[in-house]
Amino acid sequence: MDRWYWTASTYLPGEIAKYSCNCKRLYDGDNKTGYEDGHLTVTSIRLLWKHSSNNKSLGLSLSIVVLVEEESGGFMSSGGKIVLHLTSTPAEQPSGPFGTSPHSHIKLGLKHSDLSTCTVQLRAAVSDKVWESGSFRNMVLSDVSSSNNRNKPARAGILGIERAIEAKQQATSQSISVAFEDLKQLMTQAKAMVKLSHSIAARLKDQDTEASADETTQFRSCLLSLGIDDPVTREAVGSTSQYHKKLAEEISQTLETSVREVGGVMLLSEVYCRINRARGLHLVSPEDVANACSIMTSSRFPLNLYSFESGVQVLQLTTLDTKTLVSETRELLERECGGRDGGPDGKWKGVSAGELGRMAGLPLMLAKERLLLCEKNGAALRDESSEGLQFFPNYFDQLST
Amino acid sequence: MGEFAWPWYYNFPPFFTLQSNSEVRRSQLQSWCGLVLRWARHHNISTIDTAGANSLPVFSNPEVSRSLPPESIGVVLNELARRGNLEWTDKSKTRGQVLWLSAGEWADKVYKWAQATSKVNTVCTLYELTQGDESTDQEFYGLSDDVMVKALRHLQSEGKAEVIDTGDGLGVKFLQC
Repeated sequence: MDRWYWTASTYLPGEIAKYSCNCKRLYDGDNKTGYEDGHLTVTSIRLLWKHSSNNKSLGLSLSIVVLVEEESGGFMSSGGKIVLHLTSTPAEQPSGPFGTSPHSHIKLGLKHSDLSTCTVQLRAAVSDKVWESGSFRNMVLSDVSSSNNRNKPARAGILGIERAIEAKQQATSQSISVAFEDLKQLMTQAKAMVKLSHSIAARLKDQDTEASADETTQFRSCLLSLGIDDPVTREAVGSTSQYHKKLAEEISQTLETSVREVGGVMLLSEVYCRINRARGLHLVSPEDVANACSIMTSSRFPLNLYSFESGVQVLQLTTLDTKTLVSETRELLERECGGRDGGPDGKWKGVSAGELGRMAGLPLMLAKERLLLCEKNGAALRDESSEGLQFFPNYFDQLST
Repeated sequence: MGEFAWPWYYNFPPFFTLQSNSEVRRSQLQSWCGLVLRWARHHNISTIDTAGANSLPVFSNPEVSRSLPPESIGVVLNELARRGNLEWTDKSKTRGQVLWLSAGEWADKVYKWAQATSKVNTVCTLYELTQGDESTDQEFYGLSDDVMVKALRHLQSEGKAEVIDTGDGLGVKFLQC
């Protein structure tokens, strides 16, 4: 009977209840004990006995069960017994209600109706040895040890309850502070990462600029846009307008290279994503980004905010040359359209915004704005039909009347 | 009468969309007007109904499955009227008379012919100009009377001719200038 230990009446993670029934009495060896009229549960790893008046249960690890025997009572009795032969108490086990016992077997008094099923289930659970699967063993042990700590000082009465609550609170606050400790460490590590990336980026910059492989270029651009050492924060700056000014400087410095790489124009939405990625943990709101960009209208900044007639807002290089942009797009249109005399079948082919986007690697909205820009500059012609809006190079410039 | 030779831009899809760039639009409209006039002249069409205009072959090209939208046809016709190549015959602008050449252009041609055939300072009847033996090789041969009268009135306003009512029809006296 010394193998029983006190435990919470809840299942451990992964533990599965196999069978449960009422248990008339527990026996220590062949002797009756005071544990009567309880509820018995057979799980995949334990035997649990609980009296309805008590929150806690008595647990018995199935790993120490050697043999399960059925012992039916006399024909006059209404029940039978299950005999469990046990090995010695495992080393790490919480305290139980019995200190020592001379017997190496216990008995469970059950009703006749439950007897055979319970025996079968017990035998199955004992032979399955679920507790031997590696991950499970750790779990059981850890739970056992923690319940050991909790149970030792536990006393009955209000004091016991209060202590339990106190202990719980302590544990909670401890785990919270541990969690925050983790976050702090993450932040310091992130800073180190950013520093590392910067040093790599600087080294790459120092090397010869004629990058041979695309990968090198891409790697470099990734690194360059990876992080900002010291992100501007609202707390650090104070006034909102000053904050936006600083943020504008930060954006234009950080994203200049990226904007140049994507062709000189970047949608405001992408600016928002990129700046937040570069800042890492100190995220900024879309509103702040928009406000900061709205300051970027003078030539003081390498990037300028530009609003298309459609309302689409972009950041573009201050040095961006509309003429080159238009002539480049027109060349592309002419190539696609088939030249002045049309394609092989004598027909001309138009280019839609979607097609231009795919060919030039632009977002759809920017592709459309670029075509409209060409139209405005007299380099492209629109063609509205059932096939949608398409654009052709302006061949009207050679119209003869 | 041979097949009408369509210009290249008749097969150029964006030709059938009125352009929004004002400069491009101007040259586009010019091409449209030229095309409509040449086409009308080739097929000897003198009036255009706005209601049925979109079924005219000049305004739609099934080969490239494009046709000029009705409102754009209206713009082209108005442009023609502005240039003097089309005159609305009613106030609601549902029907227009096509002038292959404007009254002024006709006037020039008539005056040049008059100079070439030494008709200056003499009086000619309308019949002589449009049906007479001496003008059979001229473009205005067979021109309707009201167009001719418009041309002559134009000459009069320039001081190159004087329109005279001879009683049984109009006549004209070409003046030296």
